[in-house]
Amino acid sequence: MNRRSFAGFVAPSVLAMLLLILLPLLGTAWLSLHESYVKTELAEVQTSVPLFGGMSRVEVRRVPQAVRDAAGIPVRVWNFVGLDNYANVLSLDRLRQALVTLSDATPGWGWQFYRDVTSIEFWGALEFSLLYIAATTPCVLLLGFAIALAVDATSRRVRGALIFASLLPFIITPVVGALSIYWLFLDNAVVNAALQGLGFAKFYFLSGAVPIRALIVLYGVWHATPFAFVVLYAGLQTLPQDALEAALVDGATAWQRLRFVIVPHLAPLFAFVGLIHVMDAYRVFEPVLVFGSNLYANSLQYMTYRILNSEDNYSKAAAASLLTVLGIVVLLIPILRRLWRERQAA
Amino acid sequence: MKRLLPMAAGLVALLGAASAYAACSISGSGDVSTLSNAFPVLEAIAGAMRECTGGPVKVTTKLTTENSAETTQALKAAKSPYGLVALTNGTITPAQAAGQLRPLNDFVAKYKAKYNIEDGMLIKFGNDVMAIAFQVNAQHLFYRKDILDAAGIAPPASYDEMLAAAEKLKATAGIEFPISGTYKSGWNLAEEFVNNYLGMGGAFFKDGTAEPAFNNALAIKTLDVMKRLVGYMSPNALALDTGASAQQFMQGQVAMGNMWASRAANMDDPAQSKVVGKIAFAAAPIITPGGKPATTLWWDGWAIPKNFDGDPELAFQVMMEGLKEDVVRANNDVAIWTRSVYKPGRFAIGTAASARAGAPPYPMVPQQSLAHDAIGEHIGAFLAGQASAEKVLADATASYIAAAKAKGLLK
Amino acid sequence: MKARLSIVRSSARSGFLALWVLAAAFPFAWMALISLRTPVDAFAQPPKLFAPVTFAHFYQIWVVDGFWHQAINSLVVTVGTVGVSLSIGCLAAYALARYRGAAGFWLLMVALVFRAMPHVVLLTAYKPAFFQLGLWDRYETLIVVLVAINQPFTIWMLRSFFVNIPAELDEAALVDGCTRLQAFWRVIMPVMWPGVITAGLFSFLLAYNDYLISSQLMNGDHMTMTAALSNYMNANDDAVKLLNGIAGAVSVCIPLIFLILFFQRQIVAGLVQGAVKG
Repeated sequence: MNRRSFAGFVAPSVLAMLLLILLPLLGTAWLSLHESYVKTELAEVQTSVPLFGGMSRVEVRRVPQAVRDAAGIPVRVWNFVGLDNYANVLSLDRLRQALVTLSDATPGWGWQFYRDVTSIEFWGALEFSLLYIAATTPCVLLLGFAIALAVDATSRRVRGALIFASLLPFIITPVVGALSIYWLFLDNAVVNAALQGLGFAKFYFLSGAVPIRALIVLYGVWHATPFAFVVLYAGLQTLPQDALEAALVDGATAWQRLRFVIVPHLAPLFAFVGLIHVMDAYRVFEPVLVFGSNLYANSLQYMTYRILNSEDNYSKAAAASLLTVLGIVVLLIPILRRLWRERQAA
Repeated sequence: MKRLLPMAAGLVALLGAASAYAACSISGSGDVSTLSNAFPVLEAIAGAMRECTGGPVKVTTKLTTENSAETTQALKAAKSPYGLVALTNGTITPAQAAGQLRPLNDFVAKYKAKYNIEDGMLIKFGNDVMAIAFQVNAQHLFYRKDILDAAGIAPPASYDEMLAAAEKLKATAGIEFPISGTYKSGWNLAEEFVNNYLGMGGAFFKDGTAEPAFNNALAIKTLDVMKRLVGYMSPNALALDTGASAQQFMQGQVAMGNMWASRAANMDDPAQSKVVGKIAFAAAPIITPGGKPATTLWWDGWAIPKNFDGDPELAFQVMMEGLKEDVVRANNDVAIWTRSVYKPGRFAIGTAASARAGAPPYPMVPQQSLAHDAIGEHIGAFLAGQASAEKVLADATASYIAAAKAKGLLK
Repeated sequence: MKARLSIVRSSARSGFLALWVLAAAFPFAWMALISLRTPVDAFAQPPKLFAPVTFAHFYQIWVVDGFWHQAINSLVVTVGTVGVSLSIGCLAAYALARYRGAAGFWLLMVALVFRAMPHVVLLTAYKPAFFQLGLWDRYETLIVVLVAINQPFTIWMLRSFFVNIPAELDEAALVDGCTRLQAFWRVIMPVMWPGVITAGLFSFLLAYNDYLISSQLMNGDHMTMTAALSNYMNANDDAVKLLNGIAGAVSVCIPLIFLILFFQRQIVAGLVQGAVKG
């Protein structure tokens, strides 16, 4: 295919991505280097507030009020602040303090350092995001593979129903899915009732960092396994029969067939599913929102969302966004290098 | 039959609601879009506002619990798509300080007689009416009268009494976690701190400035009381959302706690609650001897954005149609209305008692919401045992300073 | 391949699958169950196995609250997104499969990075820009945004399908005098349908289930179903409203369930044909 045809074919797609992904990214970067607010000055303002049943309370105090220009429009300040927003998000001063504590080398310093650093919003979010990726990815791949093998070995009649049931966690809207699991684990809800029915004691699943994180990871695995399953199952359908028969003739056990024929054949699929999952896991948002308590588990996307909505600080949110993007680019570099080398070899 | 009954009930409610109000009678033409939170009284008001749709007028209402973020963005934009936004003490101050609201003095004067706009409904900054308030809300004590009576405990008037009562209930009545509270880390937890710290007599800022002053001995005492309370709550308390903690009451799992007055009516709804008629209400407990009830009074009201590109007079009329006396009469128990035609019932007892005993209104300065957020982000760590009180207060102060500088409130 | 299986292995496998199916289906089944109850029964502590059934929540959300408005919106947005996405995606993916130059490789790498972009990052820029430009709360805006966000995944997936179609097919068509576009449309596309269906289904899922972007870019009457659900789900003050939302959530999943039921063979076949071999 020549270059002109290529350009013509990819133009609409590239245009869409440039306009709606690259441009906003650049806009966000530019935003992150500035700060903006309405100029205010302190003024004596008497406020009147209703209390109850016709009572009202009048308070006089000094309150910041907007500075207005000649036309009566509030003056908006727009400053270039360089990397200040980034320093704010990374909380460099608190990081420095934590390092000072580290150098003090008091007993238990390692744990204290960990506590100090993760109590900073950004680093705590980064920590859990990475933990989430590391915990869910192997589970998703292994569980998806196990289910694919198991379904592949069942009779054809049952398979349809099994595939259908297995895809359910994947097709439910993530927010709804996370909520449905959250409700099951509340104080006296279904899971606790079942535990007590089986003779165990009540367990408080939301009572600390470890249980909540485990629950979020559980949700993550529950939600992502169907995709791994369906891709690996499709892969199993394309197993080269002759290689398998040759292995059988050679007297290989089921385990050896698995290790030496099936897994190598599926290797590219494991890589594919793993890559997709890492990218999705990095963006984890819904379970953190629902199981709520970024006290115990925070994620980068949730942190950015919080800054955007609660703090109402676009510039700081922009800086947080770009740091998030930087993180995923760093995570992707090994894969990009691998793909580049594969292309060079081809 | 079982299926038809709820459907019929729904239809009747629909028809009933429609005929409860006099028809909407406004003049003007255009579109008015409203944005508000999504609790029952707002649903009733939105319903009344939508009645005004017809002919040249179209009213659309958006009710969402994410309204505060969206309101902030709408007020900042060049043009606001919303003609009416619902605000509270906490959310009006940044908007008013940035000059984003339209003063309503002219409309109030023009329509005062038609809608009987009372003085107790006006939110004034200086001489400007910035919003019209329709309800008052506060957190106050909810308790299971039957459980406390059976154990011979009087309704607690202070936190010390509450903790003693909890200890007794745990020992004698076998209730493992007698206290409930909206302690979810974040905004709710900060609200508890604000209520209790103000009840201790603390102040958030150095007088007349935006400089933080909430890292002190009173704050540490406040946090200690909160920690003791958490000891009598479910171990999940810091992660339970507000609905889940209300469920604890409605499912009969707890005996006492501070809840929002707007939740009171639900406790007596047989479709939602197992403890109909068993919950009694009282003023919020005091936290320090001789202090005022540890709660803050909130109001909810409507305002018109300055950057609304439609007809503000039409928006004002729609607002008043939603707040007219008929609406209050038809929905008397749904809220604690500011209008004088409101007949306070048993659901208003707690708020009335707290107000009469001198509970303060939630501070109406723009830097309060920044402090609120900063506190909410950090104090959970102390209650969860992850950090010391001094550290979390220092962290909260640092976060507040950074946020206030970004808003130009601190240099 | 199915050599003699011991009873133990077979029952272990059945047990494992039964546990998995329970874990996969139970949360949804439970939600569907409680959507048919009054709040005091739905959230009963301890949970009730049997309780009176009521359709009030479904009635409330669909008829009284007019959820069918949002259903139509979801339909419009989803069909629009899938249609546009597949059209421009197929064109781009075909070109990427056939072109040997370096530009193709770099485009794919950039697309990979774009796919990894958290949506909140893009929202930071979208919301104020669209407000100012007056493009907020319009179908076209949401469709274009969802198409653009979906492009990276779509072109990666479709490309691997195209790669598996032998180049000789279009070479033959070109020799016969077709232009590239004609070769693409007349010769390649007819063979591609299973792959297109698979990619279309993933596209559909993304547009239908999208929450973050849809809830921030659309308003009131124009909201899609998933975005509108957030209003109900967040109203945890009001247990009745929450259950109406759950009824809505259950309703939202039903079309997806039917899709899976009817298309599951195509999904697997599509994956087998395309991405798997690639």
